[in-house]
Amino acid sequence: MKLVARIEPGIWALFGAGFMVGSLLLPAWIFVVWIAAPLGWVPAEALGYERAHALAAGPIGRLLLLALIVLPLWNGANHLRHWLIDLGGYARDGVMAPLLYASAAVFSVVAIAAVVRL
Amino acid sequence: MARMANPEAMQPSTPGSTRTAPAAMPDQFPTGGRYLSYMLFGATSIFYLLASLLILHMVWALGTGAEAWERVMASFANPVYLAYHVLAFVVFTWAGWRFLIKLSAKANPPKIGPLRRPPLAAFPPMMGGLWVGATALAVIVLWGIFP
Repeated sequence: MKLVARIEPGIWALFGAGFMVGSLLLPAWIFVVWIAAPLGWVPAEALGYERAHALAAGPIGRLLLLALIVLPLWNGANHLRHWLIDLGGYARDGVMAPLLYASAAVFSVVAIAAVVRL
Repeated sequence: MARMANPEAMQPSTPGSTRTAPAAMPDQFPTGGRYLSYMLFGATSIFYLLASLLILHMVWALGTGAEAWERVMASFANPVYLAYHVLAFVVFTWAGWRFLIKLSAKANPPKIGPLRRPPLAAFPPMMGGLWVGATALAVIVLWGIFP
């Protein structure tokens, strides 16, 4: 828990950035990619492999995708931790905080790998 | 019904002579008054985590090849996925509105580095404009209109 306390300012910064990125981009992403496209409203070639890969593999695309994965991930981990503290006190925080932050760190590394291999 | 809160939160560092009442959660916690929206806002964290992991899954598939990508995209037509994503869209829109419009002014200090904070009344239209602009740009790109 000492390590958690030491890195907490950085986590709060990631939390705020996660809210910003998530708020600005996720509603549009969900509407187009996860609702409109499966319903056939979006032209098939718009999210076809060729165009999706071309968009994602550019430097801006990689950076945006990394931000869209990593920042909401830390936002979710930190917010969930504090939500659980609100609900149940600190009794489980000694387990939950390291678990949530370690998971966020592991998936952040996987996200970097996923973006690099595009 | 009030319940006992975390006793450590009120613990003095050294024993004192002043008697204090035991710490207790407010009567309205967690679903009464403004606690309801506060707690629902906390619950959006689960949606943020799931969205991140799902986008990671998509990016991994995109890096694997056309077949994996098409398979992931086709899976989103599942009615369970669709229902969840409609709910997630409502959740993220509400969370975005609460974060950008309602909370951003309150969360910023009077000075941000060397810069003075804009007037508080300017935050909702400023953040709202940013939100609409970013959403419009993202929709245009993802829909295949630009570039």
